[in-house]
Amino acid sequence: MSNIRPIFLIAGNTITGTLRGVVLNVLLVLAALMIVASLSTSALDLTAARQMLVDSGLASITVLGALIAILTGFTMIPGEIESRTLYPVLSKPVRRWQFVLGKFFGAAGINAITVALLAVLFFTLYFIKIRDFDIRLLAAIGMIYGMLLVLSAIIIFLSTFMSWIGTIIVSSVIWFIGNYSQFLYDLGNYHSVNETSKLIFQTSQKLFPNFQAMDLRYDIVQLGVPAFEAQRILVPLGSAVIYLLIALLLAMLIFSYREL
Amino acid sequence: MVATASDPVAAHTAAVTPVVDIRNLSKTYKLVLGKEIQAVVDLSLEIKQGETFAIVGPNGSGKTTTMKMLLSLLFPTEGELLLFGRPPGHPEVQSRIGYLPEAPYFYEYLNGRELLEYYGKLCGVPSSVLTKRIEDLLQMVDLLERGADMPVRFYSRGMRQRIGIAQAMINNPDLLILDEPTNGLDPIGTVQVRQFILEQKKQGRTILLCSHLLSEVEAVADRVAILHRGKVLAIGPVEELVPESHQWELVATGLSREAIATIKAAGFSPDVHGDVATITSESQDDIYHALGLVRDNGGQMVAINRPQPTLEQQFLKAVGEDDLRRTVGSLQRSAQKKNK
Ligand SMILES: Nc1ncnc2c1ncn2[C@@H]1O[C@H](COP(=O)(O)OP(=O)(O)OP(=O)(O)O)[C@@H](O)[C@H]1O
Ligand SMILES: [Mg+2]
Repeated sequence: MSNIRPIFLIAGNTITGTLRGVVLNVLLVLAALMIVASLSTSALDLTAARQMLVDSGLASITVLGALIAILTGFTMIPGEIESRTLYPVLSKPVRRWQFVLGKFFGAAGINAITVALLAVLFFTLYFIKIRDFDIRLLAAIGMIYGMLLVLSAIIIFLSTFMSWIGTIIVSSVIWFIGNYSQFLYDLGNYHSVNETSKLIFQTSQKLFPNFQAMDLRYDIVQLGVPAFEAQRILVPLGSAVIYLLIALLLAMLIFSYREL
Repeated sequence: MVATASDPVAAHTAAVTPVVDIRNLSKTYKLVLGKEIQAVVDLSLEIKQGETFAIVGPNGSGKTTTMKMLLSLLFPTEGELLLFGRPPGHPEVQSRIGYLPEAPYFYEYLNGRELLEYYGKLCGVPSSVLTKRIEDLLQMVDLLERGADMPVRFYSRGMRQRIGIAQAMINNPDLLILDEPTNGLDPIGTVQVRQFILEQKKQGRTILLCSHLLSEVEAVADRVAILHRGKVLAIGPVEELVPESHQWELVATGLSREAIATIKAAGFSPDVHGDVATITSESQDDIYHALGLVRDNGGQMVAINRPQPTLEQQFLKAVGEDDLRRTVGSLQRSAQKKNK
């Protein structure tokens, strides 16, 4: 119990700081405006309108959520090191790993706020246009939240040993590549010119988190699946959890040995 | 926390175990291109329960580095550190320590009260005690009226230092580690901090503080370690480091360059800063002779003193190195300027 308390105190303080800061609020307003704008096009018929709404709506939440996760996450640990606000904290009965987990849960809270706000906006617009509520969209948004958690864990991990610029760049690249996992897979398995490139593509496909597999847009819009099979959700979720845990464990380990 | 009478073994152990036990501690920073900085070299010291111990040394002598190792913010290259008989960093150790970092910074978006509440909760202070303690601490550091409800963003340098002292006290610590506690404070604040330290000392807390000004710790410290380039030059009780004075000192102004030359010709070596000349001698007669010379040459006497040699002077004597003369000399001059 006493191990968990500091974690949530630190998470809470991180969320307070982000909410009272400028970055998140500006980004949220911009994101909301972008979603409203992208969903305001009047489509021809209801099916086409529905498809378009789902496609660009979910895409917007994913991309804007990732942007917010990166821009609020990269300073979480380096910012406290640079401003030395972490000295008084770590001189209290707080372990380094608790600090790292606290920051992660802080990021998780911020992601939750972001996704919830954008999702409410999205569902409202969807309801206004289509007069319907689609439970599959809720699953899709849940998966987006999962993606953002993995991304935040990666950002926390990178920021325990990288400069903040490095963290922004590398986490963006990982995010990008993870969203084109299928492309890497195809390159590795069907289009490789030689064994070396095949090996490179195959290993990097396995090394980067497969965000694309967590994206349910295609299933809803193109395939039109009426409901998701448990497997479709649980398999990518399982590997996401493993990825997240590894990133956090490494972050905790590295930060514990860091000189501050 | 304090061993009770019902447990004589624990009481005995607590009394015998030094609160801080540093043995052969060294810290080397590794820089790029294989360069190294030896910040602390083979440092050994013990601080007993209830003792007030000061580390004094010029900039870059390794004071902050030593303190950070005690809080396991940095890790020793060599040697051993024990706090209350345990290695640093352990939550049980940390919960008995209050730490004021050097030039502390705090969350800009919290106000004074919220900040103390956060740290108090991190220390596991029960909320029934915490609210009252926060008010008391805000009162103690003079931030109750102005600062308690103001975001730290708007704090002045001195207010940050004050809230820093308050947060170091939030867990009612047995050991206080204060890195330059009077840094950034005005003369009143400096006196208040001195009183604060004496008060904590009276309450039986063990205190480790550091400063680059010896005069700042003389009044409060039981023992002092003088650190220079990471090495201890001298360690001991203040009285031992500052022997009895046999000096007389004449302070004069209004002396022309020729007048100074005349005084020098008479065998004195006045220390001149701007318009103020200080003539020192071990003999009272010589000082009266010098006073005559000052008067005859159009100068005025400001004061005749029997100054206690400060630790600073002691320090200079012990080291006698040019760079130290320069460092401490400039510090004294800037302090004098500030005091004017
Ligand atoms: N993070 C660091 N990396 C490399 N060198 C460092 C680091 N921190 C301190 N040093 C060096 O270690 C030496 C001791 O520094 P330290 O901060 O302990 O001195 P100090 O006695 O606290 O000085 P001050 O009175 O200026 O606060 C200095 O030479 C400093 O340059
Ligand atoms: Mg220092």
